[in-house]
Amino acid sequence: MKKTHKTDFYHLRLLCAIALLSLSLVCYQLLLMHFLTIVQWHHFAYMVISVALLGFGASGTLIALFRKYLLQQTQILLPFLMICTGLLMPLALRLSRSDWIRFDSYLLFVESSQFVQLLLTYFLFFLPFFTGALAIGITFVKKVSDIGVFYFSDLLGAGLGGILAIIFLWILPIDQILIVLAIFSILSGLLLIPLKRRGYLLTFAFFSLLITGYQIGKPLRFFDSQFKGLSYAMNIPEAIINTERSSPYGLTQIVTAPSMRYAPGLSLNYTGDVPISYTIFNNGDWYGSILPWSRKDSIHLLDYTTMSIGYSLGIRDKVLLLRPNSGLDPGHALSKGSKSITIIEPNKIVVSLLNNEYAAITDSIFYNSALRVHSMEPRTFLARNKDSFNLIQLPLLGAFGGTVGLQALKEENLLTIEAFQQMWHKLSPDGVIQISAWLDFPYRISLKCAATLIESLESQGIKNPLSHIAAVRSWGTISFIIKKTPLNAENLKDIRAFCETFYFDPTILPGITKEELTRYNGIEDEEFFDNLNAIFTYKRNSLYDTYPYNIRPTTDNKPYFSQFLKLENAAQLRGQLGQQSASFLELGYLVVLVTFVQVAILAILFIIAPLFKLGWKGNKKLWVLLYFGGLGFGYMFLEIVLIKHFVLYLGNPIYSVATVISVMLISSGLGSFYSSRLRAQRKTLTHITLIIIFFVLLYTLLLGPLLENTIYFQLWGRVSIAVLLIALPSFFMGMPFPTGLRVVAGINQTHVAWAWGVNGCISVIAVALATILAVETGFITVLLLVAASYTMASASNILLKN
Amino acid sequence: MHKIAIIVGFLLVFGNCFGQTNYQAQRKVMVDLQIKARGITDQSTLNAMLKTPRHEFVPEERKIQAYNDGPLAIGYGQTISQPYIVAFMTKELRLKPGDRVLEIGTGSGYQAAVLAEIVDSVYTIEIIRELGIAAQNRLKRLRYNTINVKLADGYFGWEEKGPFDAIIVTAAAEYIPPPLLEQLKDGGRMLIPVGQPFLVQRLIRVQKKNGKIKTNSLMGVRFVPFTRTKSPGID
Repeated sequence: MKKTHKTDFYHLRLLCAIALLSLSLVCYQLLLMHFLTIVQWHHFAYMVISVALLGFGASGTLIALFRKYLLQQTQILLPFLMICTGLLMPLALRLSRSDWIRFDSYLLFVESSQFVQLLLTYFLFFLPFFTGALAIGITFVKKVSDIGVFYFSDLLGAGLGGILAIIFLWILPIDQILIVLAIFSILSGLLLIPLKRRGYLLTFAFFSLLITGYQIGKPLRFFDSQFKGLSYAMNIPEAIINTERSSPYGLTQIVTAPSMRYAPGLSLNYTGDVPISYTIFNNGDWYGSILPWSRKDSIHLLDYTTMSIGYSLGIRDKVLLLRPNSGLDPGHALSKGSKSITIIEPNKIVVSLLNNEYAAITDSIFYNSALRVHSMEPRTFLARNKDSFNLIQLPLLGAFGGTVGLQALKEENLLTIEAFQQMWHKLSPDGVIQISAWLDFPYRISLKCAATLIESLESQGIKNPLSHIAAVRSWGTISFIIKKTPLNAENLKDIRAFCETFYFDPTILPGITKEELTRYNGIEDEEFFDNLNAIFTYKRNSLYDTYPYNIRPTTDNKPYFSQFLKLENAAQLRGQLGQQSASFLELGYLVVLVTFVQVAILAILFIIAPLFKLGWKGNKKLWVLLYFGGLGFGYMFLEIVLIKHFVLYLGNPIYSVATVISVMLISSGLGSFYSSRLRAQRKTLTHITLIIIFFVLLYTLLLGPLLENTIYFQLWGRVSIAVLLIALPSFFMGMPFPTGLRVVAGINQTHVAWAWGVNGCISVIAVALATILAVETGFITVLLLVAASYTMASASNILLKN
Repeated sequence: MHKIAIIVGFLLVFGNCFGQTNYQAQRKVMVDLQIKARGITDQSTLNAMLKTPRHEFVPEERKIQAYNDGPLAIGYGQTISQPYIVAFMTKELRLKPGDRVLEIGTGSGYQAAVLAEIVDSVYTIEIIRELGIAAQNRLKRLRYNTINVKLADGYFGWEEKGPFDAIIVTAAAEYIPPPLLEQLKDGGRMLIPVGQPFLVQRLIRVQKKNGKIKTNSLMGVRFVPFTRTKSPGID
């Protein structure tokens, strides 16, 4: 059989076609995610794509139901399906932009008609994944004896697709990438066109290429939700998009209009002009503002905001700005006499724009000798750098008018207790950490901020932490500082003077009186102050438990700062805030819950449907379900945990995700290739799964400390370690699936497709479930569940005979 | 054929009357259940809400939802606020018939129409041309002759018509424009709702007294904290 691999030309063509098809499908998936995030929000992108990926599970169902017919027609069917996939890829995306299908996710909870459009969108994106997966599934079922090699080509293609997607996003616009991917898929079909009856297929391929080619030069309709920041900005008369850059960081656009201004929570005693600003949008959401600035300016707009509190304590000559607001915060620091300003901005496109096209507006601020800019994750910088600073400033949290919970599932590694511990160690003796937030209502962000600061101080054994902390409040923002040494009488005097000058009120200050709290700015519910007080006392835990929102500080294990929803309170919140408001308050997490429910229901249907034909009992069905389900859960859970670890380790979210996905898939492919040499028997399955469990347990204990101790290495060193650590378990994780399929084939050929479907469905459920588990219980639980999933797969082998 | 025409004509004329009556009834229910029931008792506000035909200010396809207890999208990412919020803001302005009011962000024109039922002159500024023109035409058609609409950037206010007894900013920004504070009379009130569409959370009242400015956050949507043990007071 092995000799046939080299000699059979069709076999070789089939391997290449599968690799090419997988490559284009993974590229398409990443592109779709990117595109939907631009036109809607990433949670909705995730919701749509989860359903689309169920195409893999559905293909298993269809093959299980019509196996005989489908396998008889493979010579025609495979090229047909591959060409179909290519044709559908750009068409689905273009049709989804048409007026009668395009939906606005913001209106989903308000207008029931939007659900029809959402269903149509689901269906459109489901199609290319379904046809592509059907071609792959039929091949696996047909070639189950050589599954190790075919699964290798599938994973290799997918792994390369992950890398290629990043490259494409740098060099091509989205509409052109779509055409390239469509051509890849059509080419994969052309590779398999048989000699007989090729006329129809060639004609179909020709017309598919023609339709695809027709779309060249027809740009995609980027019709954002009317509720996105960019849409609001574009409604302003004479608003224009000045600059547009598409990259793996997203679609970065800079908008200007004669009436566009930015002055967050500006003091009411400011009588000057608020200058016209340029606004940076990333994927249609506000990212930052560029305000005209000159080193000759005597005052800075931010002087009139609570964000100046750090400077009210005296000159801060060594400043660290973590994810600063474009050129605004650096300009403020320079105007305050700072001599050394370190800027950590992960988005390279924004840095490049400020360095080049927009340098003139900000007096070439990034060329100032006092500034050093690093483009990396702030936590990576904090872990690697050994300097100390006398002001560490974090970005303004929340959004004007409160958030709608769309950041709920964003991992915010900079806002955890551990992050503040790291910052604390980088402070010089008189140094302060400053963090500001928009005031929201019901109060969530400000309370969680206070809780995080106080708990981070306590966790480091600081005696009397309240003497290190202060906060001031305007009509719209609140700024906190924590000082390395206790605030002295002069500091308190300076803060009070700062408040008096700008109509701000001290909110936390040693020795504060009740009258001081609302001298200039009254508040909706004065219980806010009681709650702040409770956070600083032993009553904190009781408040965490009883407060309707989750205000418990976040940790690296559960870094979801913006996740405020307590599931057990959801119904009560609806009663208090009204159905609509409650929905919008925590939109992000609700969307993921909805995603999980819809995916789970569909997946269960796809898993059950073939049993009506295959029968409910016999042929080791329970084993198939437990074994392939366990593999699906385990693989996806581990992928998510590894992405979380390596984003911080490598310091760049885009490249880290690409590295983890691609290295995992390619290594698993190699493992699959190697597994062809193994005998398909119970013992083999048990041994492989036990090796994987060993790795997972080892990683549970050692991965964190290992990465922590090597984060100081140069980039090449860290990349090498990352590749090694990802590749090792992944190599073994590529073996159980193809070997298991061979075992299934040995029991009953008709069950192979079902096993493929079970694995496909469970993998999609696993991604949604992992997100919910990470939010509710933390990443350690997810890692332990990787071990549990593989243990389930391993233990299920008891059901097999030797 | 002739009979059919009469029946159709009858239905058109009286159907419309029934529709009007229906809207009036819906307004009454809206005022009773959404506004009075939530504690707003200011008679001038209640009268204004009862008189203003809200259904005329929403897109045709949403007329059926006009008196629902929620905001409605009116296009361009804008919404017509929930009736309760409109009433709450109107009440909080503490208006008298002779007051001169400036509104920033005309939107559909509904808030301006409610204000015009109480005061003699309302000045309203809209920056989105399409919305402003539509509101201007609508207000003219509905004979709100005391409302003046201007298409301009609200940042600068309406200096030549100022100073104002009350200013209402319905489309709030991340800052309170200094020119608006200047155009507010001493003793005047400015109201700014802060929130996302479909989610008004905070309402800020700015008061100018003896040259000093004070703000107060009012509750747009009353948020009742869950029962819990009493928290310690402030030292």
